[in-house]
Amino acid sequence: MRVLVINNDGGGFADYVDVAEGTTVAQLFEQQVGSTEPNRYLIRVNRQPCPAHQVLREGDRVSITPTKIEGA
Amino acid sequence: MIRQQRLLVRMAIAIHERLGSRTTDDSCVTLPAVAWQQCETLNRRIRTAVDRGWTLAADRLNHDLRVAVERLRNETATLHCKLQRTSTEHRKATVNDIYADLVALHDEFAQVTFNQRKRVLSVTTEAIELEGIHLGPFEIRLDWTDIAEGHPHNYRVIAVDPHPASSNDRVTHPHVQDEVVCEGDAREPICQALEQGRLLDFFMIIASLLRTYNSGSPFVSLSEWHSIECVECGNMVCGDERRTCEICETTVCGDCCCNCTDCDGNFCNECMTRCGKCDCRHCTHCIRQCSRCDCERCRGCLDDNERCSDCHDHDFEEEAEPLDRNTSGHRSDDAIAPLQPNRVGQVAVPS
Repeated sequence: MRVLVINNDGGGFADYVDVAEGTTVAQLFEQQVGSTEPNRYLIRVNRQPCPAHQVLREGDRVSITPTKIEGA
Repeated sequence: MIRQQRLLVRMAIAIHERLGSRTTDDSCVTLPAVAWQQCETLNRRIRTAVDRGWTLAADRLNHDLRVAVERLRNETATLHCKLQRTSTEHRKATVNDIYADLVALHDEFAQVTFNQRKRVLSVTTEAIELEGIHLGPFEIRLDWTDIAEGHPHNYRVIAVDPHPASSNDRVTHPHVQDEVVCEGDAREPICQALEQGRLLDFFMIIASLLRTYNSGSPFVSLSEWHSIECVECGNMVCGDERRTCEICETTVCGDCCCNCTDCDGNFCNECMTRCGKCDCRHCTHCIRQCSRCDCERCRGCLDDNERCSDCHDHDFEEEAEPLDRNTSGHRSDDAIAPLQPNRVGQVAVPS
């Protein structure tokens, strides 16, 4: 199934990605960001806060935004 | 449908129309010539300041150059990304996406306001405190007229209850000057969010940036937030080290502060002057001018009639002379001396 992933860390890309059925938010986060510190990110599914074990559904919109972004 | 929802739908449609009205051709880019020109101008001024030994001015210009180079770097990075993306189709937000973002903004931020006529959408953050320094809430105001263009300056960050740096009231946040954010790491995500019409992401990125302090390159560092620059040496001074000139009210550090020996006040170097007689330093309030010759003297070096010692002596001589002269032109001691009898030689000759 396809979900829209918006990664506001680094390049800030937004793209559809294919994920396996039953994939959770935590698993997608690990795949996309590779970080072991999800508490440093605001993760929203369909613009709503979500638990780490929430299972993703077709067409979900997942946004990942760092809580700390350094200005210059 | 309640009134608020209708307003949001109308707003979403209007923003979506602007998002689809991209006017510039991606194959034509504008080079950051203005930013480069600013760097060149500042560099030339620095050279002039160094040549003339104006070290404080050179330091300030160096700071300005650093900011200008950062701006140039950001604009170049944006251009680089833009050129890379020219061949790819952007994913644009739909009306539904924008509407959902507008609704979600109300969950994320305490205050959301919009003005469709002025094409302005703004949110207000909570009061922000960084490293114990209260900066207050900030309004992030987006002008979505040119939202599709991804302009770097189509939004402003306004301090609602400003607590600016003591040394520069234009700096309301370590990364905000003149209501413009120095975006740093957030630049590319911000551009992408605006170009694609992801309003919720845009505001959340800016809010995250405002809640973060990067000690590497702030406009004014938090450690110096309450400090003021010494007008003499340019060092930042705070708290007990700070002195205020009692005449011009500028701030000087303890090392550069001058003390007047007459009134015991604190003054900057500019407001001090030397007595031409005793060479002691006094404030310009305590130094006087001789009532005759206008030379500068301290109180101790003027007489009761506000005259310097030279004028005092001169006047004394002038006052004494008429009494000392008789009508024949001889000296007065000759006039009052007893006459010497002829040929007797018994009277003392006046000396």
